[in-house]
Amino acid sequence: MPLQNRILLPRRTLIGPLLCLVLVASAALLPAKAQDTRLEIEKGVIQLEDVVPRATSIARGIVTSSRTEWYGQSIITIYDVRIEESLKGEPGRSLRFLLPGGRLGKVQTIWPGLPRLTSGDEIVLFAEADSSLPALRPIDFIHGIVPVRRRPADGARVVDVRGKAESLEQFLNAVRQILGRR
Amino acid sequence: MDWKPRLNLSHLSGKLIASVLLFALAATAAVDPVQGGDNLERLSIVPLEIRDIAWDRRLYDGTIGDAVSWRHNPTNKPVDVNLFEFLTAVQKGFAVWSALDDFLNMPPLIPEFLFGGFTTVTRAGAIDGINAIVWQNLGTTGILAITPCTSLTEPSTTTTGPFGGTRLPIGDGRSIPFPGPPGVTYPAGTIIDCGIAFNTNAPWVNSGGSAGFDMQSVATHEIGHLLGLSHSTVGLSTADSSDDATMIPFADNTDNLRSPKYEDLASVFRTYLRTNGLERTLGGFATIVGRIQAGPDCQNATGVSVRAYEATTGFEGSLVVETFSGSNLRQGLPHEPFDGSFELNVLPGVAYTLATTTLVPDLTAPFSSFRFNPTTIFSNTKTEESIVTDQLLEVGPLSPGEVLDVGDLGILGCTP
Repeated sequence: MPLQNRILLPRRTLIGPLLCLVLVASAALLPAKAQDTRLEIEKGVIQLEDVVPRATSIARGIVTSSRTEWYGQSIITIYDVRIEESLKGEPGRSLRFLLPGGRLGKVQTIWPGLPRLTSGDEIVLFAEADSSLPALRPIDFIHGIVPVRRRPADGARVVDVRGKAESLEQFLNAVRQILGRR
Repeated sequence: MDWKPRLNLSHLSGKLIASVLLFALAATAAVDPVQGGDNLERLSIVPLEIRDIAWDRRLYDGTIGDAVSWRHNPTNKPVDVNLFEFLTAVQKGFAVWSALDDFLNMPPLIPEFLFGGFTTVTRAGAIDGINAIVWQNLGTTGILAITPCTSLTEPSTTTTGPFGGTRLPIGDGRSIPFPGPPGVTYPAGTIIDCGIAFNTNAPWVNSGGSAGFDMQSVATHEIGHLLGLSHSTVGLSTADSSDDATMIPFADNTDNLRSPKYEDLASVFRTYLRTNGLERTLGGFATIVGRIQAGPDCQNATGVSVRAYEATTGFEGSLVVETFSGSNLRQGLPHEPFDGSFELNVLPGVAYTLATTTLVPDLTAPFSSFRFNPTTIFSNTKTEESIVTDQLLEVGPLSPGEVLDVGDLGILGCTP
């Protein structure tokens, strides 16, 4: 059947702002309340007031390498990060953290919602030590890793985990503000 | 107790349901277009490789088994959650998915899962051959549940264990208990073990409209992941959640995710038809294929949401099908594993509008793992400021079994 009524319509809808509204509304509510809100099922909402004090290490850095290992009956991926800026914890040149999932042997385990990082990715890490694990553990895994991206329009570094895109510096200032209060 | 409810398709009109059933057994042309990308494809851990993941049909279609089992560990269950109600909610979640193919009048296409009893397994992500549904402390920042799934990255053949029983080698000298007899080879992409972790700290209820999250709604969503499905954006731009796809990544205080919508049906069919080498139009569907190109130089655009919607029910209405541009054919090409192609299975007899939503406008950026994560798989709800939707063309109505190739479609300044 030939195409019917092929019409190019330059119409655009503003989904972005609507999404922002949804997420901002979600972020404003406590997780214990479900009324009149949508909550991201596998992610919830990152709350700096919660994450910052729980983290023993907060740093901005670049992923330099990764490897997968068996951890009991599970697969974990261990990442090495070159620290560009340390905000909390022992200052150092690098740190190591882990995420569940990865590819090993004949299998791979995927955890929906968890990022899979490659060398060169820039992140802000909120991590805590866990003596039972071979590396630092990001807070709630998913809330402890904040990807830094380049905005296409101007190349500015932005993060987008609090309901709207914001500059990296704005995000880090919010973290510093919470740290300064404690 | 109703362990096997029929699918509630009240959101579809009787006329449209009838058209599906009417054409269900219609003979269809064996057209096999390129494997378009969609929201069912999952990027593997190894960059530049993408494949569907799905359960092997032989485990539940009577070939070597009639059903796959799930088990439950009630340890850490919140005290205000009734165990019986929880088990019923989960089993109904499984049943509503498996009922989607009942009209086909053939051995099951979509996996059948049955409750296999209780377990002491505490970790949803353990690769132990037990599809465990557990309660875990997932924090207090709003995570409701999560479903880790393990699949094969290369074929594996079951063997007999040292103490009897069938085992599946998973590499590094390890193996797990596995259903079915020894000597069966399972292909790469086969899901072999999933678990679901419900957050002990979340406020759970067993209905919609109250101050908590409906267990059955969230269970049905997570079971969609367990079946191999990724997230959908259908319903995302409206506050009204009544037409939300079950695989939308958001839950509210309704029970709207309990009933898979047409988008969910199309998605699960696409996965299980494709992984089983069956005609995409089986069941009387029609298929729209094409390719998305973006930018002034018309680069193949990957991870773009492509949806077909029926005009009167609307962009977020009950007759929407969404996919994401990409392609399995791109494996091995440096930094660009996809070619921007897509494939949508739609109802015959319905005129559709094709629209794209550009989730990440930076289509020409250098390769980065972040480029993929926000698009085809996880974060396809990102709040990029410049997310835009373009209505591209109107097509149809299509005939049962028809495959319509719309060719190259341009967005963001591309005129193919």
